Order: sequence, then structure tokens, then C-alpha cells
Amino acid sequence: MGPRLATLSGKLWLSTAFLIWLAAWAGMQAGVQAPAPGAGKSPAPGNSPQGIALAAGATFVGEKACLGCHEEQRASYERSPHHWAADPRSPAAKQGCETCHGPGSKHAADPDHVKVVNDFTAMTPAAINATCVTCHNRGEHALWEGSQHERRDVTCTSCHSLHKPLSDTGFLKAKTETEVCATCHRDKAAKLDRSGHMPLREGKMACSTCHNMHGSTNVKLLRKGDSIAEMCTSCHADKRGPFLFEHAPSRDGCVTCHDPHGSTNERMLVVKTPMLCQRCHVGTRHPSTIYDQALITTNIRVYARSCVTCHANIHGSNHPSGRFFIR
Amino acid sequence: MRTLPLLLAIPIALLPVTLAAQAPATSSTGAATPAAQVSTPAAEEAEDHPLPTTYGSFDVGVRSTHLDGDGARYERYRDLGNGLFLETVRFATARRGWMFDLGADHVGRRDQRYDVRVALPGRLKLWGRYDQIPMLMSRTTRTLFTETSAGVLEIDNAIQAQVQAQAAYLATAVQTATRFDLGSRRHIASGGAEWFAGRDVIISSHVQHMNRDGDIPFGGSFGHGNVVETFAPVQHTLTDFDSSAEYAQGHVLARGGYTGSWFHNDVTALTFDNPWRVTDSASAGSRGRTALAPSNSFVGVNGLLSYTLPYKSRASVYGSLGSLHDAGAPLLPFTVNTALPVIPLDRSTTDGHAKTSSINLSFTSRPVQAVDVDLRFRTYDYDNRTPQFLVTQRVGYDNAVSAVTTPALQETEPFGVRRATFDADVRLSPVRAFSAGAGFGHQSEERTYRIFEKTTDDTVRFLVDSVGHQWLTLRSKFEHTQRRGEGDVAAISAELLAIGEQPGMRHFDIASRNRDRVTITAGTVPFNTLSINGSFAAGKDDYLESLFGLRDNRHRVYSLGMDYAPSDYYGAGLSYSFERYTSLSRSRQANPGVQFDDATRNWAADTSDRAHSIIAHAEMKQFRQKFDVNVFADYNRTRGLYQYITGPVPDRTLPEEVPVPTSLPNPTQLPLVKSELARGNVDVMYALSERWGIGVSVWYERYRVSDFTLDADAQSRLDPAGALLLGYQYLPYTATTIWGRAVYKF
Repeated sequence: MGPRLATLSGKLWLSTAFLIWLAAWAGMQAGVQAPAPGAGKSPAPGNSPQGIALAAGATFVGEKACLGCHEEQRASYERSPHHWAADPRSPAAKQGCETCHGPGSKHAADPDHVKVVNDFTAMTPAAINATCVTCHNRGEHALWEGSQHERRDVTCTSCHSLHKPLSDTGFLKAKTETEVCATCHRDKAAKLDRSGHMPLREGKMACSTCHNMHGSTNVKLLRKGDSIAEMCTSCHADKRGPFLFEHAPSRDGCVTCHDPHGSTNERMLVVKTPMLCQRCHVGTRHPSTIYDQALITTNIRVYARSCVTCHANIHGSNHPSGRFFIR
Repeated sequence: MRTLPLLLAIPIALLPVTLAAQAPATSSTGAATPAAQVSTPAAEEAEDHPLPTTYGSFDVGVRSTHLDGDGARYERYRDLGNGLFLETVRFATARRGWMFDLGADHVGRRDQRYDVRVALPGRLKLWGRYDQIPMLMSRTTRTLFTETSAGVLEIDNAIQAQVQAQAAYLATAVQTATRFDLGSRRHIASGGAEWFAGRDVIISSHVQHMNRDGDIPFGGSFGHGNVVETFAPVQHTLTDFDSSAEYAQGHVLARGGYTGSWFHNDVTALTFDNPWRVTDSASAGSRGRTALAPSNSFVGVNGLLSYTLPYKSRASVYGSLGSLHDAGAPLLPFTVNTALPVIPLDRSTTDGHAKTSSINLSFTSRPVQAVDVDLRFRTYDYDNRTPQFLVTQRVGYDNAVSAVTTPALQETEPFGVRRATFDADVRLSPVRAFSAGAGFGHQSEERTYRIFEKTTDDTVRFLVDSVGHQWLTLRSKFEHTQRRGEGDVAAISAELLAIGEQPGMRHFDIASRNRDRVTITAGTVPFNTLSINGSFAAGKDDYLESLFGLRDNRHRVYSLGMDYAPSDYYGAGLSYSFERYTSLSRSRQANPGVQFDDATRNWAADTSDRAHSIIAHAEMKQFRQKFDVNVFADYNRTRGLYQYITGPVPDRTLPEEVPVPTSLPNPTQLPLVKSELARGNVDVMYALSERWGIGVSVWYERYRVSDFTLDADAQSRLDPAGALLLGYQYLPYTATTIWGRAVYKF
């Protein structure tokens, strides 16, 4: 089996390397000109053909001119940090609306035929993101470039709307974070409606409690720690240990047994006990017993807390008799 | 907490602020003054368009909940009790360049939350929060135990004596069991600051203190025939402090951080009476004692350096070091049974200690618009330095000393893991709004004290995306991963046999596995008013070398949704998703001896979980000019089937396995696990004026459940044979909450 796997693995590596090389070569042959270093600085590049073609050479006109027509954008803009002119990084301290949308003199002169330079409805994902990260490139957003979302052409405007926000905070395009995330991650949102769930639908947590959608140093865009277990135990520190007796899967990854997004099983387990435990414990006597209908109301290993009625310290134990997590 | 005075006091306290808010803004805007120092067109115009200096709202009224069934599940993480409510308060103002934001939710309730945010734009941000999160698990639990002191649960000695004399007396005794609310509550106070120490430096700090108190369901055993369900006291505190300094200038981003987390458990041992015995003996204890979570701390430092390179490239290095310690509390003795001899401990404390470290190296580049390259290397090391602890004797259930003769069970196993991952991806975008890519990943994991001490995962992935035009947004990805464990099969078999496991069993979290996964999400916006999206995900894990244990795992997830928004005033949405998860695990029902190797005793559990979810919503704003109407509904229906199969498993028998007929009796199949949750909310608001609105909300929830381990049929009594339970159950409920509210906005 070993040599067969080694051969297969080798082929896999070679095939992948070849595909990547081929893809890179093909891309280079596409011959698109590389933008100059530093491109993406304000004003950000837009590539709306109309905007570029007709708005070329436009100059700044000031936000008074913009808001004179775009009255409906005024309220949200004025309540946003973008309008905090005291912040030297804010658009209001620079060119106002035109900081993001580009110089608007030609658009102002002929709004019916000339778009602004940066028409966000027509820009490429990369151009939209480049516009926003011109300023939003620190703290929470510092790791956006290269993040899973950025890699898949999710844009800032996929989730946020500065001018028509529906949320109380964060300028989201829906009332809650969950609704925004559910646009793509609908299966995760559906799990929140299971009987076993974290308090997201009650508003006590949000997707961003655990994830930083803008990029993180942990896996799965997790906000804290450097592993799944470190993220979970940042709140559930009672499971953190180190214990005298450790249960290997709880050390290695909580998601081996739990589904943090929700489950119909007690304690958000991925499968009911005792079947979950029997996935690894098939040894003699009770771990290997078929707990069929004849036993479900007569055998304590099935009903109530099932296996963890006795093995209560299943995450780990500091008791010297805690080998099997019974103490 | 639900006192009327408090509810009344808060709106009254806010009244002066509200009145002030209604007065014309007389002071200059906070933003205008500093803005004037910046000579830009926008700053000059700010004087023409001053900021709205004060705005906010509050939502107050009366609420009534009618409940039929399990109120604990309806209010698991919230408080929907009857009476007056002050649901939300929002207040924002600007004064002398400072921005203030205050918020309060569920004032005076068990799930109350208060927020304050202060900002001096461009200079300083401060925030604070006090939050309570209840976790109400049951209002119907009953117990004979009383917590006489922290972590000590006692049953009346008279009851113990009578049950010891006649076990059947327990049935009489449980009639006196006390009903109690089973649950806990977190009280979380947190605060933070972000200081812009110059144009390029941000220093931020965050501190949080969480106190959790209450009870959780727990269990204890006095042997296979005597089991108790208890509550375990929760009296935890967790204090976290994080701080970082970030420097960003030109192409460089550098960040250094410190993180500290201190967990303290006030109750680290639980002693619980044995209902069946009142006196200790050398073969049975009158009490059991178990360890609870130990206090511990984690302290770490981390650093990030990121450099922007030409041609839209970026290289980043991240590193972290951490140290995890237990608090050094003395270990409990082997038993609380006074009739047993004292067994010396190998050492007096756990000496729990682990070092963690992580390094991330990443390089992303888009050298030309059509090519996107992403390279990542990541390591994570959990180096468990807890010394092994020798156990040659033990007292399993506080009832008898037994010798531990199996060498594999004599020493503790301080698990550690070292993980290294390399990923390389290339994506091409030869034409606008289309991209295709490929990548591979290699992950190597080394673990201590596992059957495979090394595993490797090799992944290839392909993706095709179309993003950037309204007719179609498509993201699709296919992944194939091979994980293989490295180790001497004979040694693994021997190790498993030594602990009584089947030698062909493989723990599925590290077992050799082939994994295929595909995910597709697609969306279209045929009209500006309508968007439709759907997704499909499927996957299969094949544990191809696991004779026993989890053999395969499959999932299929389909979803379809649409949103319709003909104007800013009307909108509706509907989505549906279906999920199906199936798995097969294998076992052999055997006692030690000849049965252990008897393949005719093999069986399998075929597990299937299906879930249907429907979510719908509709909004109408300014309907007939005065009405805002919001309607929300969702329905979630799940079915879980656990089916036993004896003998060969069709289509899923290992190639090398010789199918044999079964000698096991035909199992009686388990009933379906069923649950249905239906929720519906209707909110109607009527605008009395520009600022005042009144409204009615109706929330409806209906939960139905049938679960062969946790419903009322499964636990018809607190004292089933050989057990004393709490009666923690899955119970149905139907709940309706009606809100009459007044909302004021300013």
C-alpha cells in the first residue's frame, strides 16, 4: 500500500505542478500590461469603459457639487466616518466624494452621458477593493490582500454599502451580519436555526465574533489564536488544559466532535452519542455494543447524557483516576 | 433585575438628553473645527453641511409571552419575560470634536447589554461594553442533590440509608426531588482603546473580563450499575488582555502584539453523594469525587511584517509564541472513599505546561491583471511539555483499588501536535469576469501519543469563477485530498490491542482518507430589483484503510434564494436549503476472548441526517405613508436516522474484507430523530409623527421534537434502573410573544 500511495502522491504533485506552471504561462501570454507600481493609490483606478473614456481629464469639483444632486446619499455619508474630516485619512479630509469616485468635473457637467471615473457598479472586483484598501489597510483590514475572500473576488461592496446600509453598524447590505454572510454561506446560516446553536440568532454573537472576514493569521479566517482549538478555548477556557489526562480530539480540534454553526444534537455534536463515540471506540464490551431500540430506554449508555454521563470529563481530567474521564 | 423602578428610571434619566436633542444644535460641530485646519475643498464645505450632532432612538413598551411547553429552550439565550421593556436605546452626539455613541439593549433583563463608544476622529477610539448572556437549559430539571458548599452535592443521609437498605426506595425518594432552573449566565465587561499615535502608528488594547456562574448538567458513576446525573457548579472567570502596536508607512506594515488570558475556576472539584450508599466500604463509596476544569493561563506574543512589492505583490511574515500553564493547583487524591487506602501520587500537581508557536509566510502577487499567484507556508506547534504521570493503581469509581497492569495505560499521554502546511495557487483571468485556477497543498502533521505519529495531506484544487457582471456570479471549486498516516501497521495493531481496541480501528481524525469536495455558488441579477442565488456543495470522505471506526462521510447541500426589492420601500426574500449528511461506521460487538476476533459479530451504523430550511422575509416601509411592516418566517425540519446493519454492508465493504454472514441477532432499528422549529415575526409600526411611532410585534415559535435519548418518552422517570437523573429533556413548546411598543427617534 505504501509504494502505491507514494506513486499516486508523486503523480498528484507532478500533475499539480504542471497545471500551475501551465496556468501561469498562459496567463503571462495573455499579455495584459502590468500596472505601474503604486497603482491603486488614491484616486483609485476604475475601469468602467465609459467612465474612463469620457471622464478622462476630469478635475475635482468638491463634494458640495456632488451632494447637490446626490441628495439621497447625503444622510448616510454624513453619518459615516467617511465624513469625519478631522480624521486626516477620511475622504472628507481629502477630496470628499471624489476621493473614492474620482474627479467629477466632466460628470457634473454632463451627468447624463459621462460617468464618474470610479463607477463602482462597473468596476472589476480588484479595482473596487483597491479603492477601499487605499485607506482601509490597517488593523481589522490589514490582512485583506491574500485573504480567502479577496482571492475569490469578493469585494468590499459585496457586503458593505456606504450609501444604503441596512445595519446599525458596519454599513452592511443587510440588517445583520448573519444575513450578509448567508448570501454565500447559506448552509451555515441554516444551521443557526437548529436546536443546538450559539446565540447568534439572539444577537449575542455574530459571525465576526469568531471570524475576521477581512483576513486573519489563523485558519478558516478565525479571529483569534493560531489553531481551531485556540480559537474555541479563547472563550471556552475551561477546556483549555493542559490536563493530566487528555482526550486527543479535543486537543487537536474541537470540530472533530462539535459543529460550531449548529446541530440538532445536544451540545452541538456532529452526531448523536453513543454513535459519535463509537466512531473511534469499538473495543470490547460496551463501546462495541449495538444500542438498538430494545436498549434505548433501559440502558443508561444511550439515553440522557449517554456516554458522557459516566465519562463526564470528556475534554480532559486532572484527576489521578481520570484515565477514562470518569473522574 | 426586572424591577419596574429600573425600567422607569432609565427613560427618565434619558429625558434631559432627549430634550436637549430636540433643541437646535447651538454648538459648532465637532467635525467642523478640526476640518477647518485641513485646507481641502471638502473641509471647507463641511461648514455648509454641518454634521447632525445628535441623533438616536429608544424603543419602549410592554410585552407578554404566552408559553406552552419548554420555556427554557424558547429563552435559552434571552429573556422574553412579561412586563415593561426598554428594548433598545441609541444615542449619538458630537461635542467639541469628540463623537459619542451610547447603546443599550434589553435594559434590566437577564440578557442586557450596554455599549459606549467615544472617538476623536483620527486620534483616538475608546469603547466599552457590558453584556449578559444567559444560557437557560431547563426549567423542569429536578434533583435530590443539594449543594451544601461549593462543589459538594449531598443527598439527605436518611434517603441514602433507606435506599442502601432497599434500592426500590429511590422511586419514593425522587418524589421529593427539588425542581430547579438549570443554566448559567455570563457577565462580560470589556473595553478597548485605539490610539493613532501619529500618522503611521496605531496602538490598540482590549481587555475583557467574563464571569460565568450557574450550573451545567454533569454526570458521575459509581460503577456500571449505578450512575447519577448531577449539576456541576460553574463559577469561572476569564480575563483577557490583548494589545498591539501597528506601524504602516509606504510599503511596510509591521505589527507587534501581546496576548494574555487568565482562566480561574473557583470550583475545581465536585463531590457528589452516592444515592445507593450512605457509608463507605472497601467495595463501594458513599460519595464520588471528580476533578473539574483547572485554572490556567495563556500568554503569548506575536508579530507581523508585511511588505508591498512591485507588480501588486505582497510578502508577509507572521510569527507567534505562546505559553500555556495550569495554575498549579494540587491534584486530588485518588479517591474520596475513606475506607480505601491512600495511594501515593506520582507528583502533587499536574505541572501542565505547553509551548505554542506559529509561523506564517505568504506571498501574493498579481504581476499582470490576468494572473494571480498565492503562496503560503504555515507552521503550528503545540508542544505539550506536561510530564508524564505514572499510574500503577487507580480507583475507578471511588469504590475499589485496582492495579493498572497494562503498560500502555500506566502513563499519561500529553498530546502534542506539530503542523506544517504549504499551499500554492495560481489563478488566471484571461477575459473580464472570468477566472480559473489551480493549486495544491501539502500538510504534514506530527503528533505525540497517537496511533499515527505522522500524517500527510496532499490536496489538489481547481476553481472556476465568474465575477464582475450582473448576469452571472459563479464561484466553483473542486478539491481532492489524500491523507495518509505513516507508521508500522504491526506496531499500531499492537498498541490498539494493548488498550482493548480492535487492531483494524483507525481514529478518523487522523486516519488515512481520500476526500473529494465540490462547492458551487451562483447568483444572477436579471433585473436591478431581483437577485437570485443558489449553491451546491457535496463531499465524500473515504477512510479507505479503516476496518473499524468511521468508514465514510458524505454530504450534499443545496440552497436557492431570491431577493426582490422593487424600491427602497419594499422588499422580500425567500430561501430554501436542503442538507443531507450520511456516514457509516463499523464495529464488532464483542467481549474479550473468542468474540474479539469473530468477524460474524461485525456490525455497522448507517447514519443519515437531513435538514430542510426555509427562510422568508418581507418589508414595507412607509406603506400608506404611515406604516412600516416587517414580516419574517423560517421553518427548519430535520430527520436523523441511525440504522444498524449486521453482516456485510452493501457497496461499502472493504475490498480486502471477506464478507461473512452475521451471527448477531437482528437489531430492532432505532426510531427517527425528528425536530421541527417554526418561527414567525410580524412587526407593524405606525408613525404618529416624524419622531414618534407606535407599533405591535408578534413573535411566534413552535418546536416539536422526538428524540430517542432525550425526549420525555426516553426519560419517563428520574430513577430508571441503576440511575438517578436530572430529567433534562428535549421538550416541545409553542410560544407567542406580543409586544406593544413606542419608538422615538431624534
